[in-house]
Formats: sequence, C-alpha cells, structure tokens
Amino acid sequence: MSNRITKHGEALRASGMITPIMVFALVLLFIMGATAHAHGVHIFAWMEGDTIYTDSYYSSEEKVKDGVVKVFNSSGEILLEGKTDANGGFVFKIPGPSPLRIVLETGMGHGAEFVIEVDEIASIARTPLPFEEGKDHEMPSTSRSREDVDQVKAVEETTDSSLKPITKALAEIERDKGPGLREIVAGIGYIVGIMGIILYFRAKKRP
Amino acid sequence: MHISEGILSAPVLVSGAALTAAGTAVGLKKLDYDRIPQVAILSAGFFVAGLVHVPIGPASTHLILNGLMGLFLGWVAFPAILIGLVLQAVLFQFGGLTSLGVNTLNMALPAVICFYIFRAGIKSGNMTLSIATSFLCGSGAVLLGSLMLAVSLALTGEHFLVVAKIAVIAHIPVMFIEGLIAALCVRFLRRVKPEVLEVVYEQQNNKTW
Repeated sequence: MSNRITKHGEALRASGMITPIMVFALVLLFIMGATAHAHGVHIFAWMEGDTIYTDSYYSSEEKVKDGVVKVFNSSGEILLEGKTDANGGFVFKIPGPSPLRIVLETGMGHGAEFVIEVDEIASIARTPLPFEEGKDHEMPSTSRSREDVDQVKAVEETTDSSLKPITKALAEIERDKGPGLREIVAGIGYIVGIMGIILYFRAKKRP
Repeated sequence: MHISEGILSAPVLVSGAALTAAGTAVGLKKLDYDRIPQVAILSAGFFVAGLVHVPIGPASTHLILNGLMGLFLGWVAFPAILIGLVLQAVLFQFGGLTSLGVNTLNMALPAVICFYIFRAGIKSGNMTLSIATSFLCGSGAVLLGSLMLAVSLALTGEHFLVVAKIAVIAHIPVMFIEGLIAALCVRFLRRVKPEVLEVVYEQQNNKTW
C-alpha cells in the first residue's frame, strides 16, 4: 500500500525519528523568532489626582489602538466609554465613588479588565472630587483656611508630578511581558507529561 | 481567535463547553494507543503556534494550525486542541478558562469538518490533488473557525456580519500561511514517510464512523 505513493520512503524509513525531529526543529525555530509577539490583551490603570490614566497593550508590547474602553461602577452600570489613542492610552476624570471596573475590548472577542477599588480612589484622590464638592459646604467648618488648602493642593501637585515616573515604572513592572521561553518549555513539558500518563493507563489495558 | 473571559454570555459558554465535552469524548474514543505520541506532538505544535504572530493584515492575529490538526487527527483534534488551549490559557493568558469550551469548539469543530470534507482528496494517489486539498484543508479550517468566532460573538449580541467580516479579513493571511503549512507537511510526509498518512486514514477507516 505504501509504495504506491513513493519509493523515497523506503530509504528513509530506517530513520523513523526524522519526522518528530523535523517538527521539533521547526517548533524551536518558531519559538526563537516569536517570543516577542503574543496575543494576550491587557489594560492597566493608575490614578493621579482626580484623573485615571489607562494603558492598553498586547503582551507583545504593542499598544492597543482604537480599543474600546468602558468604565462600569460596582452595580454594573456603564459610566463612560471611549477609545484608546495611538499609544494605547485613555484618560478620564474619576466619574464616581464606587469601585470602577475598566473594561477593554479590542474586537474579535479579545478583551481585558482592571478594577480600581474605592479606598484606593479615596486615598489617592484627596482633592475634592467633582461629585463631592457639595459635601464640602455641609461639613462643619474646619480650622483650614483657604491658603492652607491652596498650599496642600500645591504640595500634592508637586508630589504627583514627581511620583509620575514611579507610577509609570510600577505600571511597567505590573505589565506582563508575554510568554517567555520558560512558559513555552513548561507547556511542552506538560503535554509530554499528559502523553506519558495516557500511555501508562492505556498500556495496562493492552492484552 | 481566542475569546477572552467575560465577553460571552453564560448560555453561550455553557453550550460551548457541553459540545466540546462531547467532541472530546468522541476524540478520546477514537484515540489509538499507537498514535498517542503523534497527537502529543501536534498538540505541542498547536500550543506553540499561538505564539507565532502574523503581522500582516488589519488585526493582531497568530497561527492556529487547526486545519493541520484536523488533517492528521480527525476527531482526536478535539482533545488535542483542548489540551493546547488549557495550557495557552494558564501559561500565556490567551483566552480564558471559562471560555475554554467555546474556544475549543471554534477551533476543533472546523478541524473535524475539514477532515471529513477533504480526506478523500488528501489520501488520493494523485500527488497534486492531495497537496491541493491539503492546502484547502489548512486554510478552510481557519475560515470556518473565524466564522464560528463571529457566530459565538453574535450570540452574545454583536452584529454577526460586522464581526464576521472583521474576523475573516483579519485571518486571510493566516489562512494562506496555514494552507501552505498543511500542503508542505503532506508533501513532505508523502515523500519521506508516507505510511504516517496512510496509518492515519486507514485506522480511521477501520473504525465505525
């Protein structure tokens, strides 16, 4: 039956390992060229003052352009929606006091989300938020004078701007650099392991 | 091609998982002891192929290799793709664990369908015909996969034609590359190790379909 196709096979049949080796060589070749590119989608958000900055990127470092970003509150209502710019960024003012769920959709079923908790918002956004302004007047008068408040604000602004590189750096650390050789080898190892387990159990059933 | 966590509605996720479970059961039943290493190699190939980014075209796409899996494995493509996807989800954060069922179905069902459509051509004695049908099998599975992706998204409320158009156009370069890979693999195996292909098709034929 087999010599119907070709006779070259006869000569090479002795080296039965040739196909698996070829396949693995190909796979390894792909790994070398491909580790920099992958397909996970991520969104990271951080706060400066009353503004939330988001950064959307694929695991390949590539920025998500024109990705749809939707912001939901804790009860699942949509608060605002927008598109990422060419650098994967999308910036908005904190729209409300609840934990915010920031959802990124890049089409074709790809997406990611990031949640910013309420106390995080409260502690970082010390400046009165737009929705809190009314409360300020109702509160019993504090000893703070107008100048004090201005001074505090000025200090906060300087800290915010000097902390900016650190926040950015943290965001960089947080981001997943995409699968490395370790993950790839681990995955292949798992598959070989699964093969071993199946072979083991099937072998016992054989007569 | 990988649908992320939290995109699809629960009924779509559940029915996808149920169909995948059924397909996997059929695949495991058809899995021969002697072919387990071959399945594992193809599964590993599928697992890694997801990392091969295809930079041509409008969207970020990558190789899928489901056509090649179907060509060699038939129904066994279900368990093989499932394993590859579990590991891609856990290690690479591709797709998600809840959308695993739908994702497996979207990639493995086209593989099985293409296996049935093209198997007669692939095992034919005519080399040119065999290579041509292998190409169609490789690219056809990607085309069907993008359509199934569009169907899954449409079931959750997105407009089918809009998503389908984007998905199919984005995968055109992938279709071409995977057709080529399938054709090259079959050509190579027919020249060098023809019994591999014959074993695949004979064993599958001996079983009750």
